[in-house]
Amino acid sequence: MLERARAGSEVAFEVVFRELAPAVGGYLRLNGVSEVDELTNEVFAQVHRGLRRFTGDWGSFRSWVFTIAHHRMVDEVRRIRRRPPVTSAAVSDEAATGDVESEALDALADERLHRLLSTLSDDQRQVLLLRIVADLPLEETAATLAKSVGAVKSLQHRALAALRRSLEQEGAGHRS
Amino acid sequence: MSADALTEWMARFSELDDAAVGQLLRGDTPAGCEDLAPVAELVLTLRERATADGPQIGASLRAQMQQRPRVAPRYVGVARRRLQLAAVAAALVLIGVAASHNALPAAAQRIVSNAADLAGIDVPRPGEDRDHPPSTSSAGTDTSGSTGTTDGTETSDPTTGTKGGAPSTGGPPEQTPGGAIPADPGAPHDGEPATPATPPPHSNGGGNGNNGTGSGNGRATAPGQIEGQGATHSQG
Repeated sequence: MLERARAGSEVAFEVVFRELAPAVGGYLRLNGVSEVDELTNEVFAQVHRGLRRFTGDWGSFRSWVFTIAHHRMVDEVRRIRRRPPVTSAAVSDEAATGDVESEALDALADERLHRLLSTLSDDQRQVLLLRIVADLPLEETAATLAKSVGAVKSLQHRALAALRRSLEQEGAGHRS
Repeated sequence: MSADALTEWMARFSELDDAAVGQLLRGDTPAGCEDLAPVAELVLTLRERATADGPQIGASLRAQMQQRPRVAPRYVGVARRRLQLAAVAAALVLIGVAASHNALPAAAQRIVSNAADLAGIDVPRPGEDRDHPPSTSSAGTDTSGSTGTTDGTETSDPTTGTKGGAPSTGGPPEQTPGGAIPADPGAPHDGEPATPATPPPHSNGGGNGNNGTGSGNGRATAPGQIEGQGATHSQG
């Protein structure tokens, strides 16, 4: 499929998009990007432009896509931090289009995830999301973030420990 | 909670090996690590929510995808060039083999032959029969005074005493009238032995079909009988 996409097949590239876009979108959203669809499309437009020069297997391709997504996310987050914040209520109003109850539960789940992830440093969150959402191995995660494998392992341990502590605090809060 | 709690959890995760951490990151609780089950549960939620809303392909990306690639991929270009080279090489080989067997149309055979001549390669010309090479002896050397004509009859030229009529022009071989095979002076006819070096005296027209002398030789007059060049009948 990757070969066909590289040869210019629109159908093949659409299959690639449907395979990877959800994870790319999730990675962007959980890192604080608001215009997820737009940025995901920009990521894949860049992938499409560079696809003919890409050489490697599916694993390398996946890593390359997330490297592009990571760089676009970093740029976008910098841009967002320079402008006034958009309220989460406004975003929720825009997103409410279907089953209200389901969407409310999803919103709560997302809010909880955002809260838990916000306790992590940027590096810790990026490592954890690349490992969990992008499903990249340690080496690819290190390459994507331009860090050593040892540094990524260390960040991963710290992130998991911080999450475990936050979950402990969350449980204590519910009990009290 | 304090930094002490974080330090304790850090120490706890440091005890895990890579396999256990990998298991945890896939949403499974490693054996003997039930205290980490909330983390595994959170990982599952994270995976589920992260990929819940798949972005759609926008108009701009769609338009870009519908554009044909301006430059063919490098490997396709290389393969195409190799295929073209192979096709050209195969065509040259086929033409060469056909030309060496004189199997090309006359015009093409002549072009190939001329081109090969430039390279010093001997390729037969149209109509040239390499299996039965013509003899070059005795062409126009008969001075008996008779002149060959196109119909195989002879006329006498008392002034020159030459035989064979038209002078040698070195032109292309002439087709024998009546569709007869080109006469081979050395070939035996009617049971006569071959005498390639010394053609029989008074041979009609003399010479061979390649040098233009003695045109009119080799006219077939009856099946199995050839009149003219190479024949052994005597001129009166």
